Amino acid sequence: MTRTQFSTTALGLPLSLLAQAPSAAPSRLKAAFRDPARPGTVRLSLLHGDIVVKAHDSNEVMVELEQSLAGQRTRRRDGEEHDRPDKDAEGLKRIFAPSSGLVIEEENNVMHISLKSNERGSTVNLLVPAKTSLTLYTLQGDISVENVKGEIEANATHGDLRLTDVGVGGVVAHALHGELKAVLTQVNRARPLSFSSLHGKVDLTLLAATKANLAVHSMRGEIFSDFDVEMVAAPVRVEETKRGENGGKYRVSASQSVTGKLNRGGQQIALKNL
Amino acid sequence: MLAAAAVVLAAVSAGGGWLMGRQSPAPQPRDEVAALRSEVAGLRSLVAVSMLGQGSAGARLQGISYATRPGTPESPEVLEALVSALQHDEHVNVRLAACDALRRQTANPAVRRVLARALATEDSPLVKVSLIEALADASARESVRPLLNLKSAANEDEAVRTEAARALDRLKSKGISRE
Repeated sequence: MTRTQFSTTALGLPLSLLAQAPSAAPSRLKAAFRDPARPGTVRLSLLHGDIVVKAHDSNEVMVELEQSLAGQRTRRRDGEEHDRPDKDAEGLKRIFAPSSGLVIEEENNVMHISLKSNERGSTVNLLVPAKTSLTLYTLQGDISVENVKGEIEANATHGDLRLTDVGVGGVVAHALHGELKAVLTQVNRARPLSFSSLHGKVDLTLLAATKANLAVHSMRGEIFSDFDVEMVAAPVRVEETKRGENGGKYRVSASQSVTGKLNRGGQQIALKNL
Repeated sequence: MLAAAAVVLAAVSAGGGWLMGRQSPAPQPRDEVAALRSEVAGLRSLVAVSMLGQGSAGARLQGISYATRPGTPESPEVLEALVSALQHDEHVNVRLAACDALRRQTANPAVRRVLARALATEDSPLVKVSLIEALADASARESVRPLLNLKSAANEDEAVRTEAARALDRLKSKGISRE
């Protein structure tokens, strides 16, 4: 999991260095949607680094890039990246170029945020109006979203996904290798909720009164619930193998899908992992 | 990406209903209620198709759920929109939902071919595993070659290789070992 990877990187550096500069050169940008009365969309895609999104009361979007020294890797002369600083730089302190390369482009109430250079160990902190919709992607890093009421699309390849107090705008989330954890405090029947992971755990928390139709599919995993799920019978499959010397063989199997209702059904919620 | 998907969708639609194998029969309402019913059903597939072409992943998922709702007729337009979603949608969960929707129609050989071909082009391991499962369930002869490729692909996710090998065993036990 990426979390481990980041902390390993951090351990590779002497502790004294961490103490000297816990986080260096944060850079901030502020931008407004062209039409603040209409809910806007923020799109952000990273190769390395975490994404942290929170809602605030302003109509503007605040973007802050945090580059922690601890997570930095150093490029050596041979062009390869290493966890430890260049030998020649031993005992020296790394100085960050202040130009982080944060770029915000806005078109038709859609804000594209990008980084010119994307160093490992960086975190992009976003503060957005609560009604904003999000499209977030990171290859190597975690995504966390809190309190955003717009539609949320989130995709993390190697990191974890944490979504807290969201749901009313719909959530479509995928964590390929990491863990996906969502706390939905409000759902809206017209907004689908879909969560998937290949190797990770999918952990969903709902209010006790949530009306929902659950479709849970786990090929090799187990499914646990603290809810009284009213199960809908899964179709049973009957296969007949080709008749061989030993005669035909029947195989009866139930699909690995579980469909069930919470509080007599309602909102569609799909969960899937391997 | 989205623009590209829309263009492809339009192109596929222009290509006509080759996927269906047969055109769905024109509605011949016997009375007004039947006429109304078929109109509503038609509208539902229209909504499904138009939602599948939309910008947000949530709307596209909603479109797939419309398309698979009991009462929505199978139409070439809906089928093409589902195929396009499986092949081009940028969000894994939408492609997964499209795969789940299409696996109900594996009696149609064109759908089996689409699923088998997607095995080679899909990049998400989770979708690949779902495709493999769908094809093995459908005893799809078309999937043997792509499954053999996946099984021996060194750079493939281990879960995908394992599932491909399992699917090949299942197919073999049904007497299917080549295309």
